[in-house]
Amino acid sequence: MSKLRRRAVKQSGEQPRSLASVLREVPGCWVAVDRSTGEPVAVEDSPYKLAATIRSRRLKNVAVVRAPDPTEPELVGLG
Amino acid sequence: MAELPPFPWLFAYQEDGPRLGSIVQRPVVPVTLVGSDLSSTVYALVDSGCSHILAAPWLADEAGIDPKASGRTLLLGIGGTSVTVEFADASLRLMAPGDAGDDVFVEWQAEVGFLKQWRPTWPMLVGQVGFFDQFTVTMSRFSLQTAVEPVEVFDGRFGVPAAPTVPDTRGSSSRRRS
Repeated sequence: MSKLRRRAVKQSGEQPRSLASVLREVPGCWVAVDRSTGEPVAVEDSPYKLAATIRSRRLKNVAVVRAPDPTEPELVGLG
Repeated sequence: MAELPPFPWLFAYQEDGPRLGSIVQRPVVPVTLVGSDLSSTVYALVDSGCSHILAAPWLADEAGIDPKASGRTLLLGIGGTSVTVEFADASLRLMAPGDAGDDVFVEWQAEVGFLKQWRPTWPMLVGQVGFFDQFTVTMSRFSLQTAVEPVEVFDGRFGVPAAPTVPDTRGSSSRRRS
């Protein structure tokens, strides 16, 4: 992290949990993270299961992402 | 609906990875797809190099959208290969940043392309038509933030002369420039 970036972090106060630290723990899974704190609130092995979990638990203020397997290459040129 | 927070809306870049020991920073925004039902909110990759909004197939299912109904398909080159994408009209919600909750958003209509398979971290990709023609979007790799503002902000900031709005063939509200 550059000095300038560190300064920006300090100015903006408490930072949410980094997404990579969450994704690292659940490779290949689908994760719902809290949009404010970055903390994972639900993890499933398919997006359909995760969507069902979000509905059944009435989870709010979350965003869904897929945790890549660490052996996958970086994706470019998606669309 | 609750009152909208003032623009610009700032969204922090999010980490993608690790992949092969590498973590990259991506500009993403929280988006919900709206059909006959609501999808889960996902982090959508802001992709200025893409002309479309593209999404994972399970999002269509969750939102109650049948991509086959329109009969509109395109063969797109993605990741070095060609894939058939089925397009459908839908509404999208850009969720307000921070802890505003799920009741604070801006909603608009756009054409969304659904792929049959999806591997990226981000279940949706928002591109030029359907997102960049709806908002003024500024991405700063230096600040690791994406700023989203009303679409007309660009002209006020940069002094672009007013021109008539002319829909293009794909329904974009972008201007035709001579």
